[in-house]
Order: sequence, then structure tokens, then C-alpha cells
Amino acid sequence: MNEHERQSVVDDYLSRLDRELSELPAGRRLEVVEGVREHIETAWDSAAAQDRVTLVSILDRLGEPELLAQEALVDSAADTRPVADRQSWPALLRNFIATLALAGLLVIFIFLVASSTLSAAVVGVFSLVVAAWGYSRRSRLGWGWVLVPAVLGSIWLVAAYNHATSVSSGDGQSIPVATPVNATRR
Amino acid sequence: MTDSAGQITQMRKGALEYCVLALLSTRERYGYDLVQALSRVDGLLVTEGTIYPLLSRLRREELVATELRESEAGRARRYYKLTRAGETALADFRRQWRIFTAAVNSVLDQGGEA
Repeated sequence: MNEHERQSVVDDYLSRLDRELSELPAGRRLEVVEGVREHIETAWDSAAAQDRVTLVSILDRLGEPELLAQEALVDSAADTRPVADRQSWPALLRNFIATLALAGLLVIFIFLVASSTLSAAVVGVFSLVVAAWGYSRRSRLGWGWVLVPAVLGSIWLVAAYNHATSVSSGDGQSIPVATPVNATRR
Repeated sequence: MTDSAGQITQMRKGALEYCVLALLSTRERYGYDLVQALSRVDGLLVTEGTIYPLLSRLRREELVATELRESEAGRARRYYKLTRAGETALADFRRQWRIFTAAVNSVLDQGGEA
């Protein structure tokens, strides 16, 4: 067995392990894979005979990549903070109500502030940015932080667009949805 | 797998991490060195590779600290050593384990009649 063959068998084993660990954060994955790589190299260097049998036995004793990954994932599940999919129903409900309350505040804020096309557009874009942020953290925050800002953002962008087109056709100054607020204040 | 085999597997897993801490209490070691020491006794380390996820967790829990160093062969080698928190955890386990095994042994051996 030449060096090239050996390297390809080892790389194959390590890339299987890396794939199996894909759920772990990159740093932890690298730590485990590099630990195993070091193990293989050290065992190979200190082996009496450096042939295929030796290599196969080193990898056999390490165990299947799937098995190591399972171990790593169990460890990882045990020490992470609670995530959305492991929350109990009351916690989910609390989360939902909190999200709803936040959305309500946002709506009131927007009604007060959005009296021009520009601010409606800015609020719309900002909501979509919040939705994107929520999407990147959906496992921790749940889907509320994606859906609510996404829907609100879309509504405001559509409203801004409608207003812009109606302004250009010589219509009123404020966008339709803000009119009731302005009317009650007068 | 029978129930008792599954339970032994769980106990082995639980005890293994303290065996790692115990091995590190005398001197710092690298991964393969630890595996060899554990393999010298039967029935403790079934699949050698599982030591690496375990070492990763012990490091995150700050029971061990690691340091990369060059080996004689010029390869980078990760050395593990016990932290102060690791020493405390090990001392704690030692005490509990002695009480626990003595209790289990006395019941298993004499049916608790002694």
C-alpha cells in the first residue's frame, strides 16, 4: 500500500465523519475530525507493520463514523440551551403571545410614523430585514420572528408602492392606511 | 441487547469521562496516548473514536484544557490537561464512586444480609 492509497482511505474516512457531523457548529466539527486525524497518524507512525491490514484495524478500532457522530450529537443535545423545538407548549404559547404583542406595538408605531411614502418604504424594508434575521435564528426564536415581520414588511411595501403611484397621479398626501389615524387626530 | 447490557453501556459511558480525568490527573496526555491507556483495561473503551467527542465536551465544560504542540515527528499534537474544575469534579466522583460501588457490591455479594 503506497502513501497515496493510504491517504485516500484516511481522507475517505474523515470526510464521512465530517459529513455525519454536519449538524454541529463548524468549530466543534473541526475539533473532533482533527482529533481523529491525529489519532490515525499517530497510530500509523507507531505501528510495527505499515500495510493495509494495519490501517483497516486502526479504522475498525476507531469505529464507524456514524457511531462517533451519534456520540457527538448526543453530547451536543445534552449541553445546548433549550431550543424552540424542545420547548414545552406553555413556553411556545408565551413566545407566541410575546411575538404578537411586539407585532401590535410595531403596527401602532407604524400607523403613527408612516405618513409618507418614504417612511412606509423604510419600515417595510426594515421589517423584511428583521424577517431575514429571524430566519437565520429560527431554531432558537421560532417562526414567529420570520412570519410576522415578513407579512408586515410586505404590507408596508405594497402600501408604499400604491401610495407612490397614487401620488404621481395627483392623489392625496398620506397613504390610505394612515388616513384613519390622521382623521381621528384632527 | 438485553436491558442489563444497555444499562452497563450507560454506566460505562458515565464512568469513562472520569477515567479520562483520572488519567490526566497524573500528567498531560495527547488523544492517542489516552486511548492506549484506556485500552489496556478491558471493557472500558469499546470504540476508540468516541473519546474525541468526549474530549471536546470536557474541554467545553472546562474540565480539561488543551494545547497544540509539535511532536518529535514534527506533527501538531493536541495535549490535554486537567483544570482546577476538573480536579474538583474528579475528587467528587472518586468519593461518590467508592460509596456507590461498596454499597452495590455488598448487596450483590451477600444479598444485603451481612
